[in-house]
Amino acid sequence: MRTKLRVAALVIALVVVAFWFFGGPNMGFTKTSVAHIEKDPVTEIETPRYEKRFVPGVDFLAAGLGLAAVLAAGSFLFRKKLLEKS
Amino acid sequence: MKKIALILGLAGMNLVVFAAPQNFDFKDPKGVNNVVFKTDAPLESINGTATGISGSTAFDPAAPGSIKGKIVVEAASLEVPNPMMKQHLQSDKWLDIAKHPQITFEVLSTDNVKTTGNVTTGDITGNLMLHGVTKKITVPVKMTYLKDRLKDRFPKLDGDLLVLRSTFTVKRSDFGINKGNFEDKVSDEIELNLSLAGQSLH
Repeated sequence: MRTKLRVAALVIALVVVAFWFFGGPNMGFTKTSVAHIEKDPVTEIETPRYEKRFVPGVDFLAAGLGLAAVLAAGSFLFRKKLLEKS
Repeated sequence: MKKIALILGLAGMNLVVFAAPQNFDFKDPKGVNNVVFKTDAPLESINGTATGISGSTAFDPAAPGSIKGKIVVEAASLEVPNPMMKQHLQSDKWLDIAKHPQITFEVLSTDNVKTTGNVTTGDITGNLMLHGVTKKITVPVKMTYLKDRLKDRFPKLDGDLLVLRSTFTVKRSDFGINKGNFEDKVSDEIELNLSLAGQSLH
């Protein structure tokens, strides 16, 4: 159980860091929409238009690493299996 | 003789009509009008946009400095990239849009007017009403008059366009918006960037 929890913690930490890093990396809070600029050809006014997209932020990173830390800490609650002496 | 007098009279009336200011409506059917706000605090930088814009101005192309009018921004139209942030922004701790649904700017006077071709720059002094607090401010404005260009946007309509652009900074503390709190996340100084197009039908 110890090993399973530690492996799970490691996998979660790696996935969260990779998802955050390749999604940005966004140093602000998580965004659920992203603005792109549209330019009106006559007035030349640039208008930000929002489209739905999930961009993980530092809060997402902290929550993911926190979960991994809890799992890793929880692994210490389980005792190491002792090898039976033959 | 009477005919000549009548023609001269009509010509005079036309001159009066052409010299009068045109009324430009800033409720753009294509929704391009926008106000972008930016806060740059130590812990976070936030950009948002408001597109719910209406209002009108009286603008005389022959005397651009005499511009008068009022621009209205619906506070509920403010968009930020995070729904929780938007909820906080609209709450009673920040903009309190239930009590103060509109942000307005009313033109009082214009100074330092310079016109080159169809572009006029100047400093407009007006009353900015934000979060229920009205404060007189002076902002730099660029006005571009696009004669007969309305049909380029709406082929069935004849008229002119007036594009207003301005970038200036306000302090949220001056308008009683969560004064002195959370300045590490939302700066006291907020940059506003206005890009507005008004239309005047012939």
